[in-house]
Amino acid sequence: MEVVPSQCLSEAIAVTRSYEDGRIQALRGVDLKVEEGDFIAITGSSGSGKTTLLQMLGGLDSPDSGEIFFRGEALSGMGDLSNFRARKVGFVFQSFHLLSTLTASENVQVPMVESSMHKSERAPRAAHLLSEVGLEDRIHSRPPELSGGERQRVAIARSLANQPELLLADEPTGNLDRASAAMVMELLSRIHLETGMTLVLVTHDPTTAAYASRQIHMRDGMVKHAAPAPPLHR
Amino acid sequence: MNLLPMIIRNFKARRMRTALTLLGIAVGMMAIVALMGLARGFERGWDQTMNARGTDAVINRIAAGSPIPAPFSEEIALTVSSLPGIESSGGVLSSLVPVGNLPMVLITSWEWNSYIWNHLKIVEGRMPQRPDEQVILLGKSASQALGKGIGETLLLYGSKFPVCGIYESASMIESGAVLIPLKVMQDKSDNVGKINFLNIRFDSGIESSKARSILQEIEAIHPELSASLASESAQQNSTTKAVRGMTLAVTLLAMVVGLTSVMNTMLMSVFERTMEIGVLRAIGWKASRIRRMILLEASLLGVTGGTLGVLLAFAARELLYLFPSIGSAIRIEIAPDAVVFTIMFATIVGAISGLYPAIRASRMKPTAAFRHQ
Repeated sequence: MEVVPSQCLSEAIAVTRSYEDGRIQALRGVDLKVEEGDFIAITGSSGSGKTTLLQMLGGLDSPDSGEIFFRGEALSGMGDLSNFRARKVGFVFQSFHLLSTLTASENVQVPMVESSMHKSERAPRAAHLLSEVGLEDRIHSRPPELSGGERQRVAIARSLANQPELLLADEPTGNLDRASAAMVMELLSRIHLETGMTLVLVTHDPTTAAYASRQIHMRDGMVKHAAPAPPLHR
Repeated sequence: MNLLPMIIRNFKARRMRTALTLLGIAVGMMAIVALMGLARGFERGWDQTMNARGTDAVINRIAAGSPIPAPFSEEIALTVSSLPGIESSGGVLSSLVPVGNLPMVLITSWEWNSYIWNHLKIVEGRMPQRPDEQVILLGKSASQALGKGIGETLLLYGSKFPVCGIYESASMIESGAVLIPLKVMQDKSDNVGKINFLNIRFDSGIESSKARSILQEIEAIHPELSASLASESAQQNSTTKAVRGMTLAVTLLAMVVGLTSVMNTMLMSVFERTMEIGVLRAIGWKASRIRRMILLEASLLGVTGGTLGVLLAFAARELLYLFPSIGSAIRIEIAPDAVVFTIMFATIVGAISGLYPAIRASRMKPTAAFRHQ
């Protein structure tokens, strides 16, 4: 079997970020390398800066100092990051953030409007993605008609809409019961294994973090240690 | 997945607010359409009247705000009718007064033996027999609205007038009027020797340029008077001008109401959907698409409100016509150009109102939206 050397997909170098006129130091010089095909869990207590770091990697926020690179290109030099977010990154949020007036299929199609995908391809692709996450019979359901686990699976399908290179999940199991959380993590693991998609998730739950192949622990806006994950706890 | 279905579902999700905003715009637009229709109806009625009489031009005192111009000496008729190119003339004295149960009725009187009388068709009773006979003729619509027939009396200017005849006229204005001999009206209304309109008929086959030069000559001789062709006189009429002024005022008012209500609705909507807009930005929607969505939403409110306003104006008109006192006195002619203008106006007002909320929404940072939660 040929060994393919891993390549750096995303990198944070000396990133700092503060809020409220510097009173809150969310990130204090964070360095992080995300290799292509990585499955990383960023752990840490509330306020440790893990979500801020995830938002930096996804181009949702920009650092006060330092730089974020994606495939060697600085995000600060990309101008409007909408394109980057639409085509390179998929987001999964703790609170799902689905549009309640749209059906599951329409929610999945929302990011596709910024892709080069033809209109006629969108609905079939949404149906395919929803069937991949086991919701083929919930295509026309609206979020209020779905359980928490189902909503998060719709959100995962939405994050995959434009075939991103990097999937970022912020506490994806934070609002789910144990069984639903396990189902969502199994799904994310399967996506990672089957597609080789790079996955970075933020969690404070060790059970969720255990699905990752690498764990990074943060405290007070700094990376305290990075280590291979313990054996998967299932 | 298009913007339009998303927008329509947003409206449905906020039904009450959407309905109230639409109602606000619709009422304003209804007023604009109705007033434009009123001005047009008056102009049309005036034209009908001039055509029915066979009048080519009208002379009156330069309007000073009153719906009926101030009286002037009937002696002027003598000098005017002696000008070359003028076949005949007829003095008219009119007034708007409350009669019976109606708040305002047109009382009109015509110079005895003038050509103006020729177009009247008596359908019941008879014409007055002397220039000073104290009788009245009722237009068919006026007879119905007042509930008066031949032999009954009407109290006018403090005197009882028996109804001697009912007439038909192709003019809606005349059909809703009360007609008395000029001399009687001059006596009763303290306007002895006065008229407020002089109807003119030119020699047949006169060229338009010649007709205009005659009118200019009349204005040169009598600078206090305005002389205009019958086809243009409706636009010079002070009632038309007053209704047009009101239309402009209501249009400006509707614009302010529309702007504030749509902007308020859109700002509320943007505020409530902070998270949703943040998510759309997070998953890659460009700021320009967010702007377009909000602008389209605001414009859609405008176009829907405008359309509802036009429909309301049609409904209001039919409702008003149910009342004989109103139906006999006014006509609201809603023309296609008024409909198009109103809907376009409402759409533009909607779009302008959406500008600020759209810019605000498009500048929203996803992380700020998440913190808002």
